[in-house]
Amino acid sequence: MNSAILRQWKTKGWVCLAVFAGITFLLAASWTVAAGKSKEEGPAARLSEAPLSAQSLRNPFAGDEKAAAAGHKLFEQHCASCHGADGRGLGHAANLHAPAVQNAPAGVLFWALRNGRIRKGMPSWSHLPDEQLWQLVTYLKTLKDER
Amino acid sequence: MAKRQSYVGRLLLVSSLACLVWSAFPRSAKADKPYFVTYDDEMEEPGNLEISLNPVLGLPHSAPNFLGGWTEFEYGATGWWTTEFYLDAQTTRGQGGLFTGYRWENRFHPLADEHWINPVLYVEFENINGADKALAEIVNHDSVDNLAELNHEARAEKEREIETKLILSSNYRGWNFSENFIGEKNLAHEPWEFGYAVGASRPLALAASPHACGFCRENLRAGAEIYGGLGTWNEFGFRGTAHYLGPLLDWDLPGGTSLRISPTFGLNRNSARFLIRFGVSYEIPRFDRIIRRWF
Repeated sequence: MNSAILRQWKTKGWVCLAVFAGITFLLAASWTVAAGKSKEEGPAARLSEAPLSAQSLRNPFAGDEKAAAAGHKLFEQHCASCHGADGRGLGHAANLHAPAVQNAPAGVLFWALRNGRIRKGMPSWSHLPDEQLWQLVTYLKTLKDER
Repeated sequence: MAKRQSYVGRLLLVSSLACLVWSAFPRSAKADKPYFVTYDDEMEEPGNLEISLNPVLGLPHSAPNFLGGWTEFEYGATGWWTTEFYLDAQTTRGQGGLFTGYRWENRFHPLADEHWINPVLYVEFENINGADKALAEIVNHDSVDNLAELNHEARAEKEREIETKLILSSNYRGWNFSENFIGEKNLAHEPWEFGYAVGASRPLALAASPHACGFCRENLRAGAEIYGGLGTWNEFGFRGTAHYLGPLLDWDLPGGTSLRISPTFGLNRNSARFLIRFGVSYEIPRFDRIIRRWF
């Protein structure tokens, strides 16, 4: 009798957990979708939050074509799934050709990559070495020429 | 014999289905995590799903050899919230294999910006049995004696636990330093159990090469991690606890797949003598968009 009750409770437990996990997954998915549909402030808002010290950072790879090529490769690996292969932005992700991005000092872009904007879905890329972040910045600056 | 054949058959079926699903998804982003036990502050990118297999081969001195491990589904719910679901299983020499339970984990990144030390809060519910040999963390007085218990006896012990971690992580000049403080509470009126994990790692090259390459230094990351138990609320400390140390090597292949290996050494008599951890991860970028397309 006891084992039958235990089995019954076990089955109920599994069903509850499956329902709970399913609801959580749907909530998480809908949250992401809703975030994608919501009207986003442009990238200018985040870039304006950069500290003054970021503006004076110098890009060690500025104008370096090899660094830009490496940055392009990194962009395809890490950024293209949200910003699009051409960097013009998919869904709520920012258009990287926008003047706010292209006119920003390199150090501010570096700061934005390192810190991300995690409340709005842009992850922090601080786990990438600084060299790779600067290579990405170097590539982003070449997008200006393609507008 | 028939039971063994059915087990192998099921394994083959699941592997074939996994390969089919694997080939059906797009490939682009890559995974970066080098650690097996230690967590860093890196969150899954929003909408991405990472599927990971993490077998651990155990060669304890006073217990049968075993192959444990977990299958992991990690989803980036938002930029600050990552949720993961784990399925644990093991097979022990001469005792057969079994499913040992599931775990559901959530990690929260409370701060908006990057700091010298970045905290992440971790909460997990686990429903596993005493035969679990995933060794996903070491707490309390977990020791090699637990690994010696027979599967059919150990599986009767139910462990429904809440596990919390404070994850602290720093990134400096390509290095990552991560420290985890673990507190685990069995819901069956047992005291809090504690553990720790500390890891450091660095890519072999800091700058990326301009050409697409599979076996180049920027795709390789090396490091080490050390972890172990810290006793319980009533008996806090190193006494009678197990500790492990292992070097790590992570290789990010082009196309979103990542391979990891860590030969791990037990540091005292309470530890298993030697473990080899393997990991293979595959990241599906913007899984949320794929799901949206289906509906």
